[in-house]
Amino acid sequence: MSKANLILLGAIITVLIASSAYLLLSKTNNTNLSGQNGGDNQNQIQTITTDNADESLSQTETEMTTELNQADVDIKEAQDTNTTSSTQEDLNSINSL
Amino acid sequence: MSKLIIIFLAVVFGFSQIPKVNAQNTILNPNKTTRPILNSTRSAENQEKRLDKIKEHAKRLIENRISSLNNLLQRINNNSKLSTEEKTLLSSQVQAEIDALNLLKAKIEADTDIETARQNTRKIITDHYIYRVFIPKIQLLITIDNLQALSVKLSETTVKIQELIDRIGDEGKDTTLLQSLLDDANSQLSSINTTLTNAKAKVMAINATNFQRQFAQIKQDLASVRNSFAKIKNDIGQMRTNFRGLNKSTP
Repeated sequence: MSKANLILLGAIITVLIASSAYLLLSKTNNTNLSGQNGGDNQNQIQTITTDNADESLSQTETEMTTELNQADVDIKEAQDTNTTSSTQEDLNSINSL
Repeated sequence: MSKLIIIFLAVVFGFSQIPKVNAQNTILNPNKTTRPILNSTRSAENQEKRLDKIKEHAKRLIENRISSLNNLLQRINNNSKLSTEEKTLLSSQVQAEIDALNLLKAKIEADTDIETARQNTRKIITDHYIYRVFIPKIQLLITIDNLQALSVKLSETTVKIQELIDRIGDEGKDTTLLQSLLDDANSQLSSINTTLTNAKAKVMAINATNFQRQFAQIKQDLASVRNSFAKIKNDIGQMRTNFRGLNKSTP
C-alpha cells in the first residue's frame, strides 16, 4: 500500500470516528431531552383505568385546590396593589416641590 | 488773603471728603449697590435646587415603578402554567411600560425649567398608573390564564374519564351515576370557560377611572368560576368513590 493510500485510509477512518462520536453525542443529548420531556409528561394524565382512577383523580383534586388557592392569593394581591397605590399623595408631593 | 486761603482749603477739604463718604457708605452697606445682582443669583440657585429636587423625586418614582415591573416580568417568565404565547404577550406589555418610563425619565432629566419638569413628573402617574391599574391588570390576566390552563387540564381529564366510563359500560356495568357526574363536570367546565373569557375582556377594558367597578365585576366572575370548580371537585370526589366501588366488585 502506498503512502498516499495510507493517508487516505487514515483520513477516512478519522472522519468515520468523528461522525460516530457526533452521532453518539447527539443521541445522548436527544435521550436527555426526551428524558426531560418525559419528566414533563409524567405530569400529564396517563390513561385512566379502574385501578388508577382513585389515585389519578385524587391528584387532580389536589392540583385544583392548589391552583384555586393560588388564584385567591393573586386576586387579593391585585386588589392590594390597586388600593395601596397612593396616586393622589404622589401627585400632591410633586405639586409641592 | 488769609481768608481766601481758608476758603480755598475749606473747599478743597470739602470736596476731598465726598468720595470718602460714598466709600464709607458702600462699606457700611454693601447690599445697597450689589443687592439686585445677588438677589438674581440666589433666585437662580433656588430654581436650580428646586429643579434638581423635582428631577430626583421623578427618578425615584420611576425607578420604583421599573423595579416593580421587572419583578412582574420575572413572575411571568417563571410561571409554568402560562403558554409561550401568553408569556410573550404579557412580557411585551410590561416591557413597553418599562421602555416608556425610561423615555420619560430621560425627558425629565433633560428638562431645564421647573414647570415642564413638574408636568412631566406628573405624567409618571397620570400617563401610566402602574400601581393603580397596570400591575393589578397584569396580575388579573395571569390569574385568569392560570385558571384557563386548569380548565384545559380538567377537560383532558374528563376525556380520559369518558374513555374509562365507556370501557366500563362495554363490560356491561352500570355507569349511569358516573356519566351523570361527568356530564355535570363538563357542563361546569363549559360555564367556567365562558365566564373566564368574559372576565378577561373585562380586565382588558380596565382603566384608571373604571378600575373599582370593573374589578368588582371580575371578582364576582371569578367567585362564580371558583364555585364551578368546587362543583367539579365534588363530582370528582363522588366519581372516585364510584370507581373504588367498581374496583372492589371486579373479580
